Amino acid sequence: MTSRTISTDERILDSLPDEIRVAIETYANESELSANAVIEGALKHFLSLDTSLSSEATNTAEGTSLLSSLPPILQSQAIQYAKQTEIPAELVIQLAIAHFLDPDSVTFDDCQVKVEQTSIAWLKQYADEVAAA
Amino acid sequence: MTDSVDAINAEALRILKLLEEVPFDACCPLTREFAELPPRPGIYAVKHKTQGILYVGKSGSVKGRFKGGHKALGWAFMDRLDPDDVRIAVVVLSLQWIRLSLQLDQIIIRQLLPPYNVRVN
Repeated sequence: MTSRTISTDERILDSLPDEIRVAIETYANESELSANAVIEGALKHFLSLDTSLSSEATNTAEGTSLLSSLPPILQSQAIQYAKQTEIPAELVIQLAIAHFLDPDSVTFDDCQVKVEQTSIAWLKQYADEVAAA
Repeated sequence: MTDSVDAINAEALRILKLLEEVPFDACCPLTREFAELPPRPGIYAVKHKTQGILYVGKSGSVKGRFKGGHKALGWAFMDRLDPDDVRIAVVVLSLQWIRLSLQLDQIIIRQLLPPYNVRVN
């Protein structure tokens, strides 16, 4: 049982409320991914719903932003999404994680954390795709 | 100001009016991909052509919420409703209302008592 890390550092995980962080760590254990890879997967899942986003990394976040700990393509898509939606770019991280944990939520404030087998299966598929890339 | 009870109530009723008044033909039809739904935070209504609003909900991505399957559509199926007579209306939430989506959703549901929300509760 080895955890596969991708490229996210610990800043996003450390910034999460306790209940959300525990849920991410549970998904990490169940899917044999690192917690940071689960966060990246949640963002990829959320941003892929918006087919208007460019698949090229055209914008990157400043080093002080939590977004800067993400791979360039996710940074770029999160920034594009934030501009189109007229919300702060860092709020995109919260929307994505909340949506992954509870699709009936909007932010962490109304997120009723659930650990779903379908989401674990999706994460395992995501891990395989990352490993094959 | 935004957080005042009066302001939240007023915004909830504005959203409810929009959901009720949008013509059925202008709502999003049911498809596998729900391509017409916005991948944005919003409040949505599952509407029937003649019975009106069946269910009201919220999500950080309305498109994502339906792509993953939705119990309201399952109930519509079991109620033998024609899929062509069921569509989805959406009001996208602006930044100032995103954190108040739960309150907005609850006010709208209390006001309207959509049959499929009542079934859940």
